[in-house]
Amino acid sequence: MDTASRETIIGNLVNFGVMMPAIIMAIYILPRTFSYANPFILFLFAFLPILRRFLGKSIRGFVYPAAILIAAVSILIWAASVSGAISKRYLVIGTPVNEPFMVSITLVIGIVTLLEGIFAGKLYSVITLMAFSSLTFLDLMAAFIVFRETGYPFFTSYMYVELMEYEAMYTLVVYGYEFSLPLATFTIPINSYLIGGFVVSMVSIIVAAYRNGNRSMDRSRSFAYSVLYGSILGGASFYFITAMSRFSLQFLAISIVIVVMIYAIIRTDPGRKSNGA
Amino acid sequence: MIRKSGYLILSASVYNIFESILLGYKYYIIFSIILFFVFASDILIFNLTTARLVRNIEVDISAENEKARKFSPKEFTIAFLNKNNSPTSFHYYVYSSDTFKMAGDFEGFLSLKPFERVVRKFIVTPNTIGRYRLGPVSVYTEDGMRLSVERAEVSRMVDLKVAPALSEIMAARSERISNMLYYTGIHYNKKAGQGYDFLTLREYVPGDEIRYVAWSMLGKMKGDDIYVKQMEEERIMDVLFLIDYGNGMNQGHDGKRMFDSIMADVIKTSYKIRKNQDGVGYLIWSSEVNVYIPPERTAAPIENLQKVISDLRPSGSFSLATSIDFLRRKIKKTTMMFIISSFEYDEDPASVRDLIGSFKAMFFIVNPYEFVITGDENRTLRTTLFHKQNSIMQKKREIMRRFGFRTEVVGTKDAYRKLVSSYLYAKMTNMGE
Repeated sequence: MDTASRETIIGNLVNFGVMMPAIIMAIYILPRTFSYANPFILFLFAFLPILRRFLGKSIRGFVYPAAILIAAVSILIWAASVSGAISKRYLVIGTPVNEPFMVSITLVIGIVTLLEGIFAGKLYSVITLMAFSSLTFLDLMAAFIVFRETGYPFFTSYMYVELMEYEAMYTLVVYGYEFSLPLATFTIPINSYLIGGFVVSMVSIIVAAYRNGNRSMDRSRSFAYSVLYGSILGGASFYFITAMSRFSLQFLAISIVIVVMIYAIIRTDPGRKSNGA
Repeated sequence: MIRKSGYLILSASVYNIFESILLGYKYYIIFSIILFFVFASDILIFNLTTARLVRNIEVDISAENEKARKFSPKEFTIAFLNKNNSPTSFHYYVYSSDTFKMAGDFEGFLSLKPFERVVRKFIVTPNTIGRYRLGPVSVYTEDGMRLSVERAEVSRMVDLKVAPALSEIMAARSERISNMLYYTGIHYNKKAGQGYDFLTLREYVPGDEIRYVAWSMLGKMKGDDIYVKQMEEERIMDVLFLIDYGNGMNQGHDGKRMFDSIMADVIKTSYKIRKNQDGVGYLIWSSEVNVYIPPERTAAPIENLQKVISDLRPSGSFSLATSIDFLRRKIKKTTMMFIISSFEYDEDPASVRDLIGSFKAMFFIVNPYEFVITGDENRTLRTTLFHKQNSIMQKKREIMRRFGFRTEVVGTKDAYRKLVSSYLYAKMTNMGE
């Protein structure tokens, strides 16, 4: 095996570790929500990230637009059939825009970002895709927990969770704080696995960052300090946010923390003065 | 300075935090906050420690002198001194021009102990004539995760004056080759008059100088006939090269630039002209460059030209009218002007014709096609240019010919041949004094 292939395989394995929380959530949620999704949309998109790997570079970029086009045509056929513009027999190949469609879209975003994250080459892509994937699956997890605990139909639970999120955003914008947090209200059944997943993910991100760095320099000290100070500051910030959550001001608290940190980074940049900034 | 990837990672982490707070899942919130702070701490620690060290690296770049010849390797030295109290690791590289082929330690990675001095050497091989700058030396260091970088340009710049390659102009200076190629029996401008070489005999007429009487022929034909020797009068011609040194001549790519190629051919032709005892001079002209070397029947103008062009690069725009207007006040009417330009600027040819008037001029239009980058990937570009460029060149040539000027389209392969043959044509047609 040549060095380039070995590096790619190691990179994919590290990305797998980074995506661990999303993978754990996918393992839990997919078998339980699969039956509520539209199978056509799910199968159309779910395998695209793997399919893309086997296609030539020239057509690789057209895979997602082509799939979206097929889905759009299918939706148009459904809309035309329902409105009577074309014969009802075309409904077979039409995709209705209803609750299963919405669930499928959520699942597809989760699956596609999860697989793309595993194959991604850049660390920032992996982290962004991990966030997208984990947060999408967390949405579905919340919906499933509501479904299980309240006895509402699954689609109602799904919409309930979505509405809670929108409400949180609304109160944040209008009143300056948010009070309806879906996952703060319910308990997740796979908490212990997810905590393990987050630890694996954190370690993998640090490994990926180390691999991404300049290998000709001795970076062990700076890395150790980064992880140590990052953990201390992160822990302290979390307690600060938790304290502020009593007043529903978590967003304000975390915003202050982030702005202070970014301001510190900008102020300490030695190139700032020499560039006349 | 935070890298693009650093900004993206911080943005992704911040997005992660906000989205996790919106969902309210506390383990995810902890995870995303710690993630953000690990990355932010990495950059902050870097800013407070390693990044401050690179500005205390002293670098000096030097060479024996600032003169170089095209294709001749020149050695440079870079000395690094770590003025920090702690060990410092950094990358470095020397800013250079694409006309330089670099070899040796012009870039690399160094780890220096406190106050340690290290010297590195590298070789620069210029492939185009002119004045170029080497340096400064850029020193940079990165954080462990490669999220930010600190860069400092820590040395002075060094000027390098590149003269034409000896390999390109030596052929013209070689006695054997020049005599073999062009100068065997081509002194066409023979005329009876004052001179040293014998031309022919004619019968004596009253008033002829007695010193020219051919006493050996006395009475050979009729018994009392007298003949006088006629001597060959040397007709000398001055050639002045008017060379466009505007941006239009700065076409081409590394190792094959229009002004560079034309200058080599002009120098070679100048040596040929000089060998024939004729004078040669130059006007290098653009809105930015104005160098006049008056015609002389020595090698001095050619040597001077080589010095001048090693300190110049084409810049600005070219105007034939202003350059000829300048020349009209400097040269005699018998001087032959060789006007060399890519003619990339809009100018009314009729006004140029009027300005030239009774002066003698020949035009050489440099074809840009030959300076288009080579390689398979540029084939389409070259094919398109070939057709377009050729027709444009032919039109330009026709316009100048219609005005009565001998005009040639020249390129890398035929510029020298066409310059020399035009010079010979001028000699044959007695254009000299």
